[in-house]
Amino acid sequence: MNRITGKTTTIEEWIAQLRLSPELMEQVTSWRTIPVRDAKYADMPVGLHPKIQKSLADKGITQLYTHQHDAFVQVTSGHHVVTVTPTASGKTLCYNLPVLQAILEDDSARALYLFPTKALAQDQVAELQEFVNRMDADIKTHTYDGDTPPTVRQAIRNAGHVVVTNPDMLHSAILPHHTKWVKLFENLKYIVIDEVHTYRGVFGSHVANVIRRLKRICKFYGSNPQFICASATIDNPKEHAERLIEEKTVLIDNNGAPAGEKHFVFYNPPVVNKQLGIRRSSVLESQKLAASLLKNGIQTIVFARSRVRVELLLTYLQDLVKSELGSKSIRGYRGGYLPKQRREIERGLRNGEIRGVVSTNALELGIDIGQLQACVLNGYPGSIASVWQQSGRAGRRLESSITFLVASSNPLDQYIIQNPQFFFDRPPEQARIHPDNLIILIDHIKCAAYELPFEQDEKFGQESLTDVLEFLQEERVVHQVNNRWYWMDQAFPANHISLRSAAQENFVIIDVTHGPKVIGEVDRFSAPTMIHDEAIYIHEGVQFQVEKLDYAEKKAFVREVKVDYFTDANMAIDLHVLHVDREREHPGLSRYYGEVTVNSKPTIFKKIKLRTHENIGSGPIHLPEEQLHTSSYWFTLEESVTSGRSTNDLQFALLGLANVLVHIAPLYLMCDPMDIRVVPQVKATQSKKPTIYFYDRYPGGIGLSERLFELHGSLLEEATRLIGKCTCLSGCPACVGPVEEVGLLGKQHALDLLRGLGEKVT
Amino acid sequence: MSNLHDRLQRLRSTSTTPSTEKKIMDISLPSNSRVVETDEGSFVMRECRYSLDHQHGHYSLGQLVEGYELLSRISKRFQSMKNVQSYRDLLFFDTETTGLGVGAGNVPFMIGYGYYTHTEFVSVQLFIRHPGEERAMLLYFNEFIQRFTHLVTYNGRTFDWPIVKNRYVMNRIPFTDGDLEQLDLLYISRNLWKNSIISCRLSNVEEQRLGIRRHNDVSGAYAPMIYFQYLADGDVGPLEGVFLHNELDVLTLATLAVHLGTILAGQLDLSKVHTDDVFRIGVWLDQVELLEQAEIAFAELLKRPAETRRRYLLAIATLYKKKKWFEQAVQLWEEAAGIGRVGQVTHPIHMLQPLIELAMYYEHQCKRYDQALDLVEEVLNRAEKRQAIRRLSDKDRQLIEQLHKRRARLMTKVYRGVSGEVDLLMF
Repeated sequence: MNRITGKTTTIEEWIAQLRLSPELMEQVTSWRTIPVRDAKYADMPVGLHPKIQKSLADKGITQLYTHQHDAFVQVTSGHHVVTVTPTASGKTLCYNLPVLQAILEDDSARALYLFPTKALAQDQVAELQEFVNRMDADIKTHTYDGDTPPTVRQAIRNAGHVVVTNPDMLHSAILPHHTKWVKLFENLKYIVIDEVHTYRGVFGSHVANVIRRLKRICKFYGSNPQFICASATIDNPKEHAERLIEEKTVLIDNNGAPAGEKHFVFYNPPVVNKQLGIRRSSVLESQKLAASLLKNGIQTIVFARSRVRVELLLTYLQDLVKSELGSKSIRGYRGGYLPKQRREIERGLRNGEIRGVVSTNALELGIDIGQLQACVLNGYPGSIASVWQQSGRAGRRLESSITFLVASSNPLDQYIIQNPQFFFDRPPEQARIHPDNLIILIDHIKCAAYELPFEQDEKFGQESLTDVLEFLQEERVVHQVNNRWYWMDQAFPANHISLRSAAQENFVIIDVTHGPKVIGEVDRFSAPTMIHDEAIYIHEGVQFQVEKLDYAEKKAFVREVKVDYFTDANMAIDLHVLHVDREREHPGLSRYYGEVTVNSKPTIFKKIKLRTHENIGSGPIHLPEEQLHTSSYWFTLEESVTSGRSTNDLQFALLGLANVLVHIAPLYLMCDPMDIRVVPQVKATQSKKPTIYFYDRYPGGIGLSERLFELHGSLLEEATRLIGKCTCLSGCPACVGPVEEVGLLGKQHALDLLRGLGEKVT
Repeated sequence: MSNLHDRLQRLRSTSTTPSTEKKIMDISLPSNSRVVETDEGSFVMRECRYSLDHQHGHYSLGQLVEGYELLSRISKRFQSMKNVQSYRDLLFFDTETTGLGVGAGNVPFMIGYGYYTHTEFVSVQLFIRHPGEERAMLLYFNEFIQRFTHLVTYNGRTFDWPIVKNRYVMNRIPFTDGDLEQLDLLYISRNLWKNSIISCRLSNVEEQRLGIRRHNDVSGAYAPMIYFQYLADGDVGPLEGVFLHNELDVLTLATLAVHLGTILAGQLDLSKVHTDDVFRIGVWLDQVELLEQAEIAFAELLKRPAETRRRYLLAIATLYKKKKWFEQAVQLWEEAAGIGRVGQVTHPIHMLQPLIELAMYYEHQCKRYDQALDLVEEVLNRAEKRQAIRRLSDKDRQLIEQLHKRRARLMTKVYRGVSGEVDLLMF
């Protein structure tokens, strides 16, 4: 019996009932059951300090899981290590045990822990502190971040055994002031990097450079720390960790933690308008499922993709179950909540007082909330790895758990939900970084020069350091004397370099309806199409009209309006190939990887009526052209494939194909869909051949296009499959795009083109 | 990828174009300077000597010979600090650096200092012609400072000194500062003058309070740019201004020490000093336990017209009260209360404080409960009138609440006093 509600439903009973309910089962596109996994134990490692053994025993731990044991052994024998484990498998012991062992053996030993967020860092310190208290040892553990009071900072710098921080703080506060951290850097034995899978893309490329700087400083002070990394399940943990820290690592993936039976249910909301391919709202369907679970006393977590959706779902759910549970037992959780509030929610979830939580991916990371019973994902979170992470929040050792993936009408979601094998049969995505992106690299070489002069024979990344330093000398920020390069500029370089934002300068949006108030921001690349003069900008469901875009000052002034149209801007994009690095020929097609410049200029915008999608007016946009140097992958079609098609048909075919590819590409890249762009050209500027370009939407490129170049074949196969299997008549937003865009035969043209290519290949 | 050089050039097209000026490489040195060659390399040293009667603003440098003994009181922790044994133990110190902040990349390219001999004041600048000379300069400087006991700076405690110490860490040179005591004149300058002059930057303090006027001074803010330019073209000309600026800063440090020493000795003619300064001087002297000198300052303040002195009365009375000099305190409270009593009956509540102080005095010191009660009644009466015209702040309301408690307590005491007398009569 459920002790909170008095209801008799167990999760097993609830699942059994679900199977008997046809109106729900009709929407289920796939149901997989992952069997029970038994625990695999190992003995306590030989030599594990008695105080650690005592602390473990006090918590009832007398054996370690296999992965914890192996991590300890590998670390203590001197290897850099990366562990890969699912949610709730006791991964923190993998690094805490060797770290504590080292400090108990030598009080001067130091460790540095890096977490991607402050909340995780605080969580970790609390846990570690508790462990240390049980050991009865004087080991000082502190967080060092923006919230650390100035009065205790000095004590932490001099006497903290374990300093817990984040990459941003390391980058802007610790490394540039390393002379205050002599004790730490002279004695640094371990560097722990948790959640390494989050260090990917632009952020990861920055962090890899911060680690290069960290290693440089350690070397200066004569220490040579070992890295202990921990990752969620991704396809390439070892490779990724090795690119991040630039050291050989030992992979530990023999997870010994037990798990109960796990049901994975793909749920597609019913179609309400077949012609337009419109389905019932995923928010309403998620809410229906979550409410049923909650009403039966099953502790449930709901993940939503945006903060707004979190609030929407929360309001609905609190309302629905308030008679049974009271609204306090269902809470929201997202960035923007105060730390105190978050701690309270985490505690409530652990002790069971809170029965339901609606969260953004903020709870995807390792914050300790205990194990829940059911998980509802409102929308595909963007990567296979994220689905597993989120789903891992549900699942207790001795009972079953269930996860629903509820698809939205977004094309990516529809693809996943209709192709469950894509999710279940493929390894999760690879995490990719590109630390030698020239712009990122130069930024960090500046920071590194500030921290310590460069010697002539030093290395920093794969590019020629001397060339970069000579460039910086011409820019007059470094000065060379006797084979050394010194920072010689008034600026504090780390101040101007943010690790997190892709495009550094964002445009702020200022609502002037009731006096000026900042309501949001838009990145530099989206600004020309989203917030040009007269654009309708929608923020949290409210319409605003842009009164003025101050392009130089990066501000858009908007006023609340109520209109029955939205705006859509046209971009003129000109692509110019600068250099081809790799090329491969196939029958009927050639593919390339290289460097391009992309010039984009918004031309006009259209006013499009809501619902009917009539074009009810247009206007010019006067904004300067943007230029982007980046890396690109592109393929051109040969005459043999395109012959017999009119330019017009080919145009629609390419456009349709591009629309599909732009949705599929992020599936393979574990990146934000906005990070990669696709541009079709019927007659490419240089080759005059029909071409589809993909490019990284970050100056200098971040390795996404290069990966797509390699994936070329499976990308086209997947596109063929997707279009072929889509149930729409002649194109819909879930495949080649709506008929209005690709024409009545767009779907057919795209498919013909792909099949033509396929025949050539076989 | 195409070769790195091309990509770097393309990057540049969006940023600045490099300047292509030719190197002048003038090997001449600034005036009064020479190259110091050591085993660890070379650096430049510039030295100027001043006779002790050299006048800098209102003072001559030699005046410190008389007024150094009390200088340790510039520091808040003077009681645990070594005293200044001789004016020759003071090192006046100021740097010019390549940037702001105390990060590892901020380099003091010029270390300026000054010190007294028996007959002269010597101003010295150590200067590196490029960062490669830093090591030799640091080694020299560390050896040189061993003979001093006190370091006199302006904002040196949190800026110049940590930056110089950083450089020793960066060069892996063990740094021994021989327990140099820090006398940072910035804090006391702010204390004394933050209300009476617009900014407490050294350049402003010297002009407003020390009578020093500089001509064609190169602002310290330009020093980094001038140094970078020198690194690029080797032209020593513009650097002369930086040397001079640093030298004058060091001279001003000595002069400011003279001024503060004169104040500490109670020898500054206060009659021409700004009233607010007089008050702050008095408070400072009181804090550093120079009570006699403090009294001179307060006496001077009380000579000022009633209008100007009134805002300081309560503060001084509070100092007296702490020392239990009730007679003097009462006098000031009475005067201050008098101001509160005249004119408008609806002064802000805080202006009633002197009356409250007097009430406390009568209650606790004189045990004159009836008199204290009268005063409390008066305060409450006025507070009510005030309340009638203006909403009270939370703080005021708290105060009134306390007054009510005080009144109740006083009433008991008065009653007990009366009844005590009655009891006596009965027996």
